[in-house]
Amino acid sequence: MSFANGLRLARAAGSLLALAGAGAARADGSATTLLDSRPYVRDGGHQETPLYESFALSARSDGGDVLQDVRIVARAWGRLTLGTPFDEHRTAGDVDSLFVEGRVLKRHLLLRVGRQLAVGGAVRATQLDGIAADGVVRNGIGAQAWAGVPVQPRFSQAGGDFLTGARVFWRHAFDSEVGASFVYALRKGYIARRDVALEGSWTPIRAVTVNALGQWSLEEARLAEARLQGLWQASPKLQLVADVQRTAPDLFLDRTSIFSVFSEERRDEAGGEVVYRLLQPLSLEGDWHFLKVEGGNGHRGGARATFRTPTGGSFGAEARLLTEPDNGYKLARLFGIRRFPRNVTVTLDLDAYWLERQINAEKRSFVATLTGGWAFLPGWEAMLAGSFGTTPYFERRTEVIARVAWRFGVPARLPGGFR
Amino acid sequence: MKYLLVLAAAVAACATAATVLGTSAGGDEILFPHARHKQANVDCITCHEPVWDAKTLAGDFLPNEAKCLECHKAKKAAGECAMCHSDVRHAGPWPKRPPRLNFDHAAHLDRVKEDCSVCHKQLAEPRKPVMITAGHAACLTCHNHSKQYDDAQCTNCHLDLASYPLVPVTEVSHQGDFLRRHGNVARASGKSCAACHEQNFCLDCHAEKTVMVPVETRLVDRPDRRFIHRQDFLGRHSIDARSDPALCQRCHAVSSCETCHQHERISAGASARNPHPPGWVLPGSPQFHGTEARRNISSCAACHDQGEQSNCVSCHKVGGIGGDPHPAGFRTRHDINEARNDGRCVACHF
Repeated sequence: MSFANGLRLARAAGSLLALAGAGAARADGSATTLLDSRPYVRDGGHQETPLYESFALSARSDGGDVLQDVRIVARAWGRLTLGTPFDEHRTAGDVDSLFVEGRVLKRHLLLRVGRQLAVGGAVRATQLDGIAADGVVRNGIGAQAWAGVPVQPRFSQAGGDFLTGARVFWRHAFDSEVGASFVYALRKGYIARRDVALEGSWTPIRAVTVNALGQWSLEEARLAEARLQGLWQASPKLQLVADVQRTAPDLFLDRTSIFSVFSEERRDEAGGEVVYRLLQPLSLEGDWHFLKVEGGNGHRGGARATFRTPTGGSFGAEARLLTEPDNGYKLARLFGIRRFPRNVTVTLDLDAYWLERQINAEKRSFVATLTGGWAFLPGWEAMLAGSFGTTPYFERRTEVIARVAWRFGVPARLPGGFR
Repeated sequence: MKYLLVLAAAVAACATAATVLGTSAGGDEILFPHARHKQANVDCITCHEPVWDAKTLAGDFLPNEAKCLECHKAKKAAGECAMCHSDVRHAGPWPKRPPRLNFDHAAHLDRVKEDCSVCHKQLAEPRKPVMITAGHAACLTCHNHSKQYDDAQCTNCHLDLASYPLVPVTEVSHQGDFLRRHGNVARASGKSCAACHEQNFCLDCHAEKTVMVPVETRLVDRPDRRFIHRQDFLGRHSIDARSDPALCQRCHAVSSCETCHQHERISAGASARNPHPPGWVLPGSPQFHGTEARRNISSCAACHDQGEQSNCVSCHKVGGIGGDPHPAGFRTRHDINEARNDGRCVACHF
């Protein structure tokens, strides 16, 4: 990012934040300091120790007569690496989000400007520097539109990068919606994606939800992905899911990549999932899928039991299996969260897997992680974690993470905050 | 310089937030025993008089100190501050709480004949905070609100759903492997997600291009949550990628694979050793690279995608020894005349 671009960014951020200060009725967020000492992959004898500072803010105001429900959301971080840096940069930083949004036309139209996540239909979930609009015309029929520049790390967008997309929808209820959408993306001036999609989520009766999605690549005249999924809550204790999907993995590559002309792959998957809450605090889960990939078949499955205590603790065990034509693994996990008096929390995570075929001349991996957290003041929390193990890439793997977080605002624990 | 600017913006944001909030979270609690006041026949209206005419929740409905001193003046004069304040050194008034509901007390008090206990079934005691209403149960006894709840018309009552902690209800079940399923819901009905989740929550995982550290590192003390890259994912990531290449590509651009592979010195041009098996360049070999490329092109692109400088170009360009690399049927969908405007084609064809 050039100095001029940086200055423009800082000015824009300042303007938005000044607006927040002037008109916001409520604000919440967090500031977090995180130290992560971890080993290099290729040379296990070296540890890298970066120190991060992250800040998240969400400020909301009821707004005025014209612009209502105004919200400013921002999250950014900076890094200083102690010792030899992993990527040959001692400092780094970036902005995850920085946007202002509000509703106009008596709350019928939502407008959002800035760095944001565009989500919907053919657009999938794409970080975007740009604008978004979302409105309902009448009877649940409405449209969404996005336009801007796809986000690149450290503001390294190239000339000719651009993305636009739109979606029309009919929202019958909050859990029943169907839509049609398109996306058009350029990378360095060349077409990277040009897709259309039909998608829907429908709840015909309260216990059943059906999801379907089909995305077609106009550029390659092929199906990029299709999914059908049904969820049935047979009883308050039992949930069943069945799903089938087909994808063309090569169509997830940018059409600007020279590798996009080498292959036309297809991958199919079908399976299901069951969740049984034997007792209120005990949840039993199982899933299995058959995989058909280029070159052979495979399976993905697992089982998990979780017991939650009334005091917020949680203890669980998990086993998983994944096979594909070239390799596979079996995984076993034990984990626990124990809450102690004086706002102290201790967690343990034991994770082991065994490979079918060797990777780096190894067939097994074992990692144990122990953490201790203390909420020492309202809104403040400190955490120290140690992770030890042996893996295919490290004969001995040691990682230490220290975190101090300050959460402010009402309520202190937010879904949109750091947690 | 650019990083300093980013940090400066973060500091400015911090200062703004502090200004907006006025004060940081304090530790003082006003110790008000509702039960003892009720025993003493103190009516609700004695302390909460403004509620009677309130049409919104935006006002001050809790008594100020002067109201308390109408009865407890002697205690304050005697310096017994701890009778009411849990932290005397930081004693203050009731904290301001922004309204989170549309609620007309004046209208509702008529309907319940001024009996507050119809909705407020339990009241807080010192150091024993409770929800002052029974939540949804208090409202859903009324037919109108029950209908609104069934129709998911949340915003009739709730001002700002996104500021609530996530409590999945049956209709939006997050049980089981919701991590793998959530994309279906989000793409078809993103507003349902936005009702409870801020974008920053989604960006914990979806800010792949700008990420600080993986979410598994940031939330290492949440082993109960399902994360894709938990613990030693590095050792098994090639198997997961092979079983579902699109799963990686949904979040990660090829450039992010290459960035890491370059750092680890296993990318093209940076490798101290060849990671490919014997027979990689021999046609007819079971390990022939052409077969592997047809099966999983994303793996190739993860190290070798350098545009015109990609090492495939030297062999597979027109007239090269590698021959035509396009899959069957490719030419029926791509006109060679259009290739002059396509950056991918220029490297080999012109």
